[in-house]
Amino acid sequence: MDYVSDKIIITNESREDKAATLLAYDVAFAAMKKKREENRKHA
Amino acid sequence: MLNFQEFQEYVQMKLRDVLPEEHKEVSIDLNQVQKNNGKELHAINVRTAGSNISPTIYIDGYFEKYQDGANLDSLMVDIARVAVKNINPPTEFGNIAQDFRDFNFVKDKIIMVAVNTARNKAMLADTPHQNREDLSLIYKAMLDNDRDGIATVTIKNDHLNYWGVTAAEIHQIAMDNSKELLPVTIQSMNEIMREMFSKDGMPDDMAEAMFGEMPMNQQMYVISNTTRVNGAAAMFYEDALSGLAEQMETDLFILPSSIHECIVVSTELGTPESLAEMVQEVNGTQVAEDEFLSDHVYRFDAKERTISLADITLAELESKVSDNTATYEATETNTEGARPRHHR
Repeated sequence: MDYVSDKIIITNESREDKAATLLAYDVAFAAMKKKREENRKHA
Repeated sequence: MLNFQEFQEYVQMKLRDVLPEEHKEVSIDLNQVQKNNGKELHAINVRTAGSNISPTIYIDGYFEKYQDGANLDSLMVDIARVAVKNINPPTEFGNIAQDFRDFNFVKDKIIMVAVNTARNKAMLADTPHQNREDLSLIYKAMLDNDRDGIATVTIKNDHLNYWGVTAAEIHQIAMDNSKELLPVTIQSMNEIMREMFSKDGMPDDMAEAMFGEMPMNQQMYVISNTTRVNGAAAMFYEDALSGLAEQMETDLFILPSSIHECIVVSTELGTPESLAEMVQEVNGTQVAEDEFLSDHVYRFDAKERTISLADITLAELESKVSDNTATYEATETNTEGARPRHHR
């Protein structure tokens, strides 16, 4: 819960579950590596 | 059907009626709160007589539920329940307005947070900060830190004037404190994935086979802090990146995955353009509006120990941002002003 007191704003900061973002990067990197390997094979 | 302005006024007017008898003597005010990246939320503050602190209850979500067909009376009961539950703040916040005037109270709590400069222009106008490429480092006092997150107050120019402290001094204090209060964490993505999948019940041998060890310069590393909140600023502790670059024996590309963490890879792993494309794709599909950090990739020069934009120059980016701002402002002048942006 955030609070306010005489212009001082206390913010409670948490984060969404990081799993989705990191998983998306993991998948994207795997795809990029695979594509690079295929390109190398075809070259 | 009430519009958003009417909804806010209705909540302000009728909330007292649904509060329990012992809380009828409260003052109820409407407020707007700027969150990260210019996100604006609308709130009611419920303050008991004699108290100088009040919980901030954001009502944008309740309005969305109302628009989706939720019963207004039930929503009022929900809001009242939240107000009653939080009307007495944690004791450590009770005297915050007084405590915050004392620099000795604040100085050991100051931490550094990285935000996107262009998206926080209005906030930065009255907030001490230092620019780093397309990012700005701002400073917050961390009042509490538990497993649910951290409680902070953003330091404004007015505070500096009151304390008689310069922005440069605050920066140095934050750099020193952050390493103590929020030490850097560096974990390989494989390690994180292995933990994540093991927690979900994947047998250890299978997790090991899928996410086993590989050469350092073929791996991604996630850099954050021990709370995993606002951890992207950790990239500016140069010793953290230097150590990684030394082990990989290459320069590094830094992918700003959110305000909470960055992903670091060897420069051998891709081009800045292809990595920036990846960042933009993930930002567009996975990252919440107020957790967005940047669409661009940075290069850490191991020899010079500097961080600079890699896929675009700052000048190119600034001209792009000013073009977009002009278009955005032209569009904004034709829209209804009374409702929050995400309802338009």
